[in-house]
Amino acid sequence: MRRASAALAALLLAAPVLAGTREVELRLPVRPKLAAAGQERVYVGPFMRESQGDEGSVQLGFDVAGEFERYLRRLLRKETRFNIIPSIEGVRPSSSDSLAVANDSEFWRQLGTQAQVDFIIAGSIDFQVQDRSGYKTEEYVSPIDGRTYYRQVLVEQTGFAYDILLNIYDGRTGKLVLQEPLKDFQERPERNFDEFTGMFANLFALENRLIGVFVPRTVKSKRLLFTP
Amino acid sequence: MTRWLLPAAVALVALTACSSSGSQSLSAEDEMRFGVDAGRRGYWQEALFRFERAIAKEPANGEMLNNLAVTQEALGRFDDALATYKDALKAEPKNQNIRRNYARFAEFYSSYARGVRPKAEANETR
Repeated sequence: MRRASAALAALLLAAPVLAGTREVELRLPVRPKLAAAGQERVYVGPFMRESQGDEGSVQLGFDVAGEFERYLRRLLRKETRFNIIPSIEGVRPSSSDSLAVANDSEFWRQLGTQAQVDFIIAGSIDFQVQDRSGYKTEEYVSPIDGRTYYRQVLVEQTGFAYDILLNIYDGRTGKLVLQEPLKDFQERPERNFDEFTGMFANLFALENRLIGVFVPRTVKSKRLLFTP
Repeated sequence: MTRWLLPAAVALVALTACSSSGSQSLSAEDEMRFGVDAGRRGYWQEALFRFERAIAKEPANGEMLNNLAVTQEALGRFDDALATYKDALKAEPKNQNIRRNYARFAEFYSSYARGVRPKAEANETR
């Protein structure tokens, strides 16, 4: 009885707050980070693979930079109105040092002239597959005596980490106009989870952020309106 | 489907009728109620009209100012919304719901302001 009256009192106290507001959902615009009209000629690539040499990482059996480049080209064709120029055979970064490549405006200017484009989207990518399996402590209630014990269980997990740096260059001057870092980490509850599937699962999660660099988006957000 | 269409149409007609005639005598609370109803249905221009009228009657009412700020946000008038949220907080600095709305708006507004205007949009405003 006492509990019921306490609950009623709490409800009565909360009632003005709950009854006095109405939640509404707004769709708000998010501007792109790249200043573009949206119909420019764009060249995608070359991307470099950057490896941090982490001991826990697994050797990959495919070309991460090439796959990312192909994926990004397809994504931009689908989601933007940019005129994506087909890739030119034999284009390689001028150096293996990503910082030096980013500052080599002469290289990007030449590529822009060759491809006749307004923007060049290039950069570096680091993708790591990590075996994160290990023993973890877990609570266990014995069905025999009902007591709680702690036990070690083997948790099999594979981690996928992305570190992408998108560099966008002006195709006419070769100058870097935008640099956008994108990082993501995901875990899969399975050991030796297929690295190729894992890579694309991560990329799909990043898709919205990637697109947001180039085209405007809308986000949903909730607000409270007061009622009299 | 038709079950919803009829009440919606009646409500719309009622709202339109209210905005065109006899609304001079409505109290600030009535204006606010109509505004909230319009906002919930997505008729933000109507909500703006209502909240502005309500505020004309009670200029220091933080809750009404909050509603006006939300409406300005919904209509894309973000600079106005920022100023109105500030006024609402000035009127009711301890109101948790206004603070919550303002925090969410500020988060959005800072990222929106960081983004660049597309070239076409920038040219249009010149």
